[in-house]
Amino acid sequence: MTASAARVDAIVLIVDDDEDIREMIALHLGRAGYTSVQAASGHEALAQLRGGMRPILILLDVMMPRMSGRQFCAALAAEPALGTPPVVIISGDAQLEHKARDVGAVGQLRKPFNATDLLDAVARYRVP
Amino acid sequence: MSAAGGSLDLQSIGPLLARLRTVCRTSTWLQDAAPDCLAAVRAVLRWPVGVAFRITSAGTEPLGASCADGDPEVGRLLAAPVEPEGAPPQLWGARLDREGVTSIEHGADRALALGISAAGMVQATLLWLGPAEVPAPAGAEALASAVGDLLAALAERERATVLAAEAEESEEKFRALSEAAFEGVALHERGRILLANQAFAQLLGFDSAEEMEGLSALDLAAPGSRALVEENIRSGYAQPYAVMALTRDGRSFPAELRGRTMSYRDRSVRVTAAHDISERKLAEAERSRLVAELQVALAAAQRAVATREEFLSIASHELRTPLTSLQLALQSLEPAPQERRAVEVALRQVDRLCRLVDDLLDVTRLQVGRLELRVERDVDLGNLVNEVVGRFSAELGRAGCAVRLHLQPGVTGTWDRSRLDQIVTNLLSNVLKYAAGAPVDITVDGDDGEAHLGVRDRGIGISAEHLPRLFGAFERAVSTEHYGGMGLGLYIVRRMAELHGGRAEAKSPAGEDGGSRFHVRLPRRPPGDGEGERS
Repeated sequence: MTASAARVDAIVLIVDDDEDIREMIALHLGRAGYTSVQAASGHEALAQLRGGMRPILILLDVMMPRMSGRQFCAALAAEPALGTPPVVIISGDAQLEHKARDVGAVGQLRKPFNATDLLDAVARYRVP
Repeated sequence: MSAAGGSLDLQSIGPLLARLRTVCRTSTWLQDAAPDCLAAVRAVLRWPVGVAFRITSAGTEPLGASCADGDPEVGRLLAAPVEPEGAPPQLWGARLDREGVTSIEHGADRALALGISAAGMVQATLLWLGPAEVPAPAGAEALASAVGDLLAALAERERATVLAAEAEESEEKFRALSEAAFEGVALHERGRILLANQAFAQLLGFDSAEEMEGLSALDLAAPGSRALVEENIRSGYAQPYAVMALTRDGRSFPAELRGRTMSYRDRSVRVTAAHDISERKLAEAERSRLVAELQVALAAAQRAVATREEFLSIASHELRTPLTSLQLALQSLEPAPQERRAVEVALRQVDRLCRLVDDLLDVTRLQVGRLELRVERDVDLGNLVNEVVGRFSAELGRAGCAVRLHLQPGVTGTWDRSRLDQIVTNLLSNVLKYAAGAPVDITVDGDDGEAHLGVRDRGIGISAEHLPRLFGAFERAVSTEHYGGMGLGLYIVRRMAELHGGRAEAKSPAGEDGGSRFHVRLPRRPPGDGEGERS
């Protein structure tokens, strides 16, 4: 596999109900050569996945209205057809580590994080 | 008064004969039981001269004498010595303590001695003296036996009288004791009351204790308690137990009973003490009510804590999300040279906001005991200090604090790296705030057991009165008029040190070059970690 910053299939799916943070994450990822797709809710993210998108990583907010990060993970696990993309949860919660383990995420990114933290996490947990 | 042998002065026979007479006169049963005895006594009394002796361990004691017709002999005898003149003393002595009849002839006189036994020994001797030609009273042997029986009966009766008096006294004492008892006490046999004291009667609504005699003890228990009482009487249960008691007028009340079964004259009786425990039951009910209230309050408090936890979790999320966006936005900027400073300031302030949010959340978690360490092995304290100082270098430079590091290499331990970072960070923040413009010395050293972190500044110092409160939450040693901040930094330092099993302290030495010294001591292994040094 040849790595290329222009690869359109190196998609990071950002699931967060906060538009500002989605955009800022997308901005930094874009500068680092990733393509990002934003979803404002778990339902929206599932719809994207059902539409055939196969991200190299999902950045998932835990606390969201209607469908929480936990529920999203459960739904994802219940549909193996959607693939098993690695999930990194992002949250301001100090108990993040427990939550990450509980929902089956591969890693966590604790708010507030800076651009370096973000890119390190993506590089570490993404599908190669 | 006349009789065969002349008149007799019965009173002069002495106490024994007087008592015999009394008994003979008043005791029908004795007359029925011992007619021979009476006949014999009467026969004795007709003998011309009679002398009675009691033989005791102290010797022979005259009880009295009778005589006929004022015989001059009588005076002689009454005046003692009791032995007839000329008689060999040893002979009389020998006869006087012999059981049965002994006939002694001495010249023209004859004496007849009758030793009377009772309770297995000679108790008294009747002695008759008279001329030898007067025949001895008939049936003397029978007389001896009958009088012996009589004396034995008298002795028994006397003993019974004494016993009765003693028993009466004893019963009086018992009654006095039982009446004086504050507690109700009753004696019963197989559930039937033999005796009760006044307190027991009052407890159960009776006017007097006598009314209770003969009642069934079980009827004094409410129907629901009878089986228990019956079982406890049957088994001889000796511990206190609670029942519902029933008064004479049918009112029930809680009572505590304590019984003891004992044997009394081969019968098994039970003493039961009872007292009203209504007040205690009320107190117990009150206590239960208070406990219930406390539980409600506790549940409310726990809910409040849970609510606060939940609030903090949400608040934390809510505060951190905009901080993240802000930070990422600022980092995405490519400012023109004249704007660079402003972006730096903005980023630094975001950083500061992040720390404040962290502190607030940590304090709350510390106070509800929800903060847990995530320790790892071989955390190097010197390296960690280097990192933090590096992170602060710009701020320290701006504050004019030259940092001098004195780091002993290899001071490692099993610690929570991020919490140690917090300790160093908070101590440095403190320096920046209160000791700007002067050098600061940071020391890391230690021994096998303990690591030591020292921070020495040359700032405003701490007055002695503030030292004790310095490490408290929301405390500050200086006026808020001059210094801002939430007063949490040193509290967190202390608590983080304590969570690691260590401690934090501050000193502000007078003289020298002033300032403050902070010391944090941390065990290199957490308490309870029994594992030795790893090779």
